[in-house]
Amino acid sequence: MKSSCSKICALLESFLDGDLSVEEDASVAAHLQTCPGCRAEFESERLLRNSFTSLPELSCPETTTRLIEKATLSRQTTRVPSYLWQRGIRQLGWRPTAAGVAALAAIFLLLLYPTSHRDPETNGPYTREEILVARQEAKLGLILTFHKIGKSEKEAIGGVLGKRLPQAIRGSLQKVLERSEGGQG
Amino acid sequence: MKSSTFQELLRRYQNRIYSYAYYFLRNREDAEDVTQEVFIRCWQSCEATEWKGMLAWMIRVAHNLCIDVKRRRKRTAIQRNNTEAEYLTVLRERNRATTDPELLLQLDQTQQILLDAMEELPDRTRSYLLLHYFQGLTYREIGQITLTNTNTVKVQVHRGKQALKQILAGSLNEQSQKG
Repeated sequence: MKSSCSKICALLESFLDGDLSVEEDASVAAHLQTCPGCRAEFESERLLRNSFTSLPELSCPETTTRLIEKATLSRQTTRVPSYLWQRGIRQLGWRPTAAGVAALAAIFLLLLYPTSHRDPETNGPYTREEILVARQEAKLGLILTFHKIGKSEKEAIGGVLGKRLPQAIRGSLQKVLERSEGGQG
Repeated sequence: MKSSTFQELLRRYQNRIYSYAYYFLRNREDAEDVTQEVFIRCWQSCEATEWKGMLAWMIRVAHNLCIDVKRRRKRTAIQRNNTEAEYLTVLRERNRATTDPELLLQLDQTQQILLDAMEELPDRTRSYLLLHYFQGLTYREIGQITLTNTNTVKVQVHRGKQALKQILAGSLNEQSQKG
């Protein structure tokens, strides 16, 4: 291969892209007319390029698209936005706590009323003393539950709203909370 | 990332990513897995709502995943005591069997030969060729995406092209003699 041929071959890609200057373009075109070796190289370069560029763009199967959407967009509702985390939403632990305590209280109450035996004095499954103890324990359980809910509520309001509430509303809210706490006692 | 932005990304680029993965791996299921993985990673890791650089990021992830899949396949073949030549033959046969019939109708003879010939190239070279010619990326962009020197990309593409040209010329001559 002549040195001019190697130079021309190096320019073939740019020639096909149309990236050469007018002079270079003309010189490559003129050379290709006269040199069969470079013409063959040019033809094979063009064939390869056309084969690649005309490869069809395939359609992604619908099932794949749906799976992607399911794994991403449909999970969005369960995701807690990051800004809420930053503002202290972690303090919002009252809902699970209250639910847990309520579930425990329900289990506790259920355990209080089995129907295995009946007491002749009270005509029920337990003696008078057992019923009194159970009542006391249930009362204590409920008080603890309300106390926990009230405390969590206070924390939640403080955590989410913080100091963004006007002073007047914060004051009245405080009063309501205090009154409800007093009522429990 | 906003769901509307993600939906738009998915709508706009899913075919592009899927096609790249398919032509690289020549296997529909693997290409589907790669596409899913790319978009799920995009959803999980991209907080930005800007479009700039998103396609390049997705192509990079797809490129790395495709190379991983290929490596895994090769390892499995070697574990089964297949030689490189046997592996390539099995791969070609399997690719022919799994190629979508609709796609086969769309491809001309040269393209079919080309896709088969691509299997014989090293993974990276095949990837660079696809990125350059099929995705229309410049050598510089490919270098940035694959974290490779631009000149290395250029050399690899050149070598890949020379190998493909030889295979194409040989196959086409063979077929014209048969005809």
